[in-house]
Amino acid sequence: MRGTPQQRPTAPNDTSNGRPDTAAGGGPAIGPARLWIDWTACDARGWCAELLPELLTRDPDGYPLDRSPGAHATQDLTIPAQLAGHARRAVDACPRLALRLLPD
Amino acid sequence: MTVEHTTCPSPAPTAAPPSSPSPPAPTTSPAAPAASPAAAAASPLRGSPVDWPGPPREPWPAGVHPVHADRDTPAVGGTDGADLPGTAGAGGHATGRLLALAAPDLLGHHRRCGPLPWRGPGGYLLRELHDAGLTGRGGAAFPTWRKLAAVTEAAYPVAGDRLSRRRAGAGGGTGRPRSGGTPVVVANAAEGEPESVKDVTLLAAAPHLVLDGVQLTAEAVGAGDAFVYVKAGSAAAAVVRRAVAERRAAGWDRCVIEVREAPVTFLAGEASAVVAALEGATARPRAHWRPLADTGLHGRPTLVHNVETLAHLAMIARWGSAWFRAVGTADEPGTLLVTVTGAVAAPGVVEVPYGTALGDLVGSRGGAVEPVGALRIGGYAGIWLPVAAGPAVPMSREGLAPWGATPGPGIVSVLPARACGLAETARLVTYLAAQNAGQCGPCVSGLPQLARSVAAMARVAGQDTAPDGENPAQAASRALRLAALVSGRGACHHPDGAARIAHSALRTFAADIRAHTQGHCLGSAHPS
Ligand code: SF4
Ligand code: SF4
Repeated sequence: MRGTPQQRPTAPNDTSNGRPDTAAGGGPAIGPARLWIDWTACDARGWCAELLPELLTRDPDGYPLDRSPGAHATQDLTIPAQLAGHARRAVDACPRLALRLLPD
Repeated sequence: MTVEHTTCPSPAPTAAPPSSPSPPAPTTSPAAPAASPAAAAASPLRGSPVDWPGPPREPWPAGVHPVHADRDTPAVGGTDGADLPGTAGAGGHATGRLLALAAPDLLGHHRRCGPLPWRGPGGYLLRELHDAGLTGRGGAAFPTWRKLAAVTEAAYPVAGDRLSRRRAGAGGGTGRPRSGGTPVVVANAAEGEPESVKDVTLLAAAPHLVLDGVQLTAEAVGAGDAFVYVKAGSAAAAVVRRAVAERRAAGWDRCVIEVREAPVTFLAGEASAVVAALEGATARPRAHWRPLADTGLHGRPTLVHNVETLAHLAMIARWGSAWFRAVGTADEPGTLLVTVTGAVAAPGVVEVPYGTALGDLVGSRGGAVEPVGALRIGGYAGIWLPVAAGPAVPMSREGLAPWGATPGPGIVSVLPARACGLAETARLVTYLAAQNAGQCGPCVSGLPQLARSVAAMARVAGQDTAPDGENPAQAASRALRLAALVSGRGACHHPDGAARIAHSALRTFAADIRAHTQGHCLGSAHPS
């Protein structure tokens, strides 16, 4: 279930997020997953859009923006399985620890 | 009145019937349906800690509820509905269900409603709520039983339960509970919508009905603490404090209830803001990826219910789901409280069954006092309904769906024909933009921009000059883009609401935008 780097949960975020109760992490993202953005933490540095250009672009202020048209009705971004690795890299790279990968 | 007092047992712990684990022999109650085997078989609540009681469900036993024995109020499931509380239709304050049974003091409440029908944990109440189809009355209309089930399951995960194993697995694979502590129940009467008064009206009129709902919910989910979170400075705050003291003196409650005051801001009542406020932080929404039912107040599973939901719950516990379903529509049973405001003769709160025509709803508050231009459903963050939609549109999710609206938190505002819908929308969006909690980039930056666009749309070309030289039509298309840009991009749904009202103004007031672009306003009251 876990062990390989590919399937490692986004554990490093958990304690440094200051939310020890959220040890659940994103869980191993085996299938499709959702990318959750903590909008109160994000400060528009745009690394996520660079690491996940297939799904994310930046709005005029630099905040990450879902590329798919009309997708803003829901808060979470759906990550197809083949992009899960990229998504996890974006999660780990976010300097504000604002991203989290959740099982779908 | 005073004579009857002597015959009425004073509320005391002993007055409450023991929670009866097995329903006594069924009392004959003609219209009440027999047990519904489907509900028992396909029980959605397998996750609750205690197993379902074996025997199929019977209507609430009459003996448990003195209300059946000694008063005009109905037997379960009544006959033709005429004698049930709240079936008199859209009338004034006194004819609703909740408001008809309103009594500000415990003795009066006890006389009207009888003692608390404790059901014990184990799903009696959840099943009743499931069958009743009660949904949250705070705006989101989420099934109430689901929230209770989620909290119960978070607090007491059942070994072997698939859902909790999956979630617990995500939490480290140890199978330990996902969340810490006993659940918390919160009755939410923050009522941040500036136009809404139904929650404080209900709480001031029937505090004990709401507090009964808190107690029953607390018992059903095994809560350790309960709070009433009420708009600061409202009459309801004083009433509910008195009511809680009264109950404490009478030993009426099993779970201690604490009253806290909510700041008067638009977002103070957002569920995660409620939790923040109860923790002593500023009452603003929090980013939370796990539901509050899993981890809320200090990490404990937390139920935040609108006070109206809890009052309905207390009635369903007493009179059952069949009684609850006697009014309303099949998909949306029961009644709801609606604040009717704007250009009506007697603005105020009315309780109506779901599906009541908007015309009747407005009529119940004296009707419109001048020609109507449009209706707004759901408050500041609601939807504009063109007057052409007609007075027959039902107040229900189904009836409003063709217009993209929902009953929301139960607000109907009447805009007179002489007012400019665009100017009114500009006022609303400006207010909403100013009320953002200042936390999320897209909302903090987007809502003021949206408000400026809507304000530019409300200007009349030639009469006022827009600072950025946009004409109202250009401003409208920019507003459309901005509305799409802010939607769903925040820790709470506040930006979605602002986008929704702006978007609906573009649709409903398209003719006004054209007129403004051509240099005149269709509403003569346009502030120029
Ligand atoms: S990397 Fe993090 S902080 Fe930067 S834009 Fe993405 S979510 Fe925001
Ligand atoms: S979305 Fe807007 S209102 Fe909601 S928390 Fe973020 S900044 Fe505040």
